[in-house]
Amino acid sequence: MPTDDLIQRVHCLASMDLPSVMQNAVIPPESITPEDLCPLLEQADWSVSLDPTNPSRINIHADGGISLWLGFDGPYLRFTSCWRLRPGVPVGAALVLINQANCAGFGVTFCYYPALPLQPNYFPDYPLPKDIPAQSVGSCFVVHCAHGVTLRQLEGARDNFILQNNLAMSRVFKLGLLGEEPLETAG
Amino acid sequence: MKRQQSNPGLIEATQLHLADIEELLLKYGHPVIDESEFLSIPTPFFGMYININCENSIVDLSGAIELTRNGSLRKQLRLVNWLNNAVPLVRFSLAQAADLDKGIDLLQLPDRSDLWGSIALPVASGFSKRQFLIAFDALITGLIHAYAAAVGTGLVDAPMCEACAGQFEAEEDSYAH
Repeated sequence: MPTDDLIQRVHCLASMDLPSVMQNAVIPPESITPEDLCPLLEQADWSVSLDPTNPSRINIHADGGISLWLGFDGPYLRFTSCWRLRPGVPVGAALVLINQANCAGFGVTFCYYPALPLQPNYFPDYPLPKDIPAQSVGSCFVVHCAHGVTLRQLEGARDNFILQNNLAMSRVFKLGLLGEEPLETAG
Repeated sequence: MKRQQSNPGLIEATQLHLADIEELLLKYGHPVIDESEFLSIPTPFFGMYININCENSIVDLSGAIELTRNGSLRKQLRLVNWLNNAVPLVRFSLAQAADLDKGIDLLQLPDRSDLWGSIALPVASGFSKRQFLIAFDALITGLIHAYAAAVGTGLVDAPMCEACAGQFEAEEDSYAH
């Protein structure tokens, strides 16, 4: 016989509208794959598509100036972005801007491409990305999902990620250093 | 109840306190200094220390490496950028660096810069001890790589751990006599 506590929880769930149930339902770790997550995100009104060039990531469609992806990497989901600086920006200035964005906090990591190592192949176990356009800014934000994840968590992470990128881009724009050419679709 | 059955190791955010994290670290053999508002973890490397803060449903793990006073700012920034590209999970930044908005010349060096690495764990939905320890280990691993890179590029003054420094000093004393 179900306990009173369990009956109360079932009634509580039944009274919630479907979107709330969807938002709070835990997606188990085994279902956190591009093929399983893509249709779920589409159902939640995300504009996403499987990346035909990279089976371990989903494209998250964004406005012309920025590209967003969701990458699948073991116990982590990784939001990644890429946007351009204006051609001819001195490397030193770009690095200072990147550092300011990283000091701002909120968990989003910014970096500048190309990343020039001080010594070539210093860490062979850490290959640098090669398919990012030159003089671009990339950022990433990691969501730990070893115990599963909810849509609410993913949307909160996505919104914070986009907000931090917009803040950084806005700062770069005010300095007259933001690229005007639209970024081609990743991959 | 269902959540606890499927994830028995989850800690609710409302039950998270620095004291719990301190207990967890001590259990796994990490020495911890309770600084009341944050935890400080000594490391065997000179100039490297780790702090843990817990505020607003975020557990913030951060570590700093003291860089040399005579290093090139451009070189320091290149190192930081390279680490952010290469080392996953950890976010690196340079404290006390030049601010472009304030018009400070890039060639004017700060007195001393700290290379910071951090991992932020949002815990509003709860988190697990395993998750915390994975993040803690990732931070230490990332900082060690950063420390090695800084040593290799001449950006750290004292590239010795405490044990090696003691041995070095003992050998110096023996030469003096």
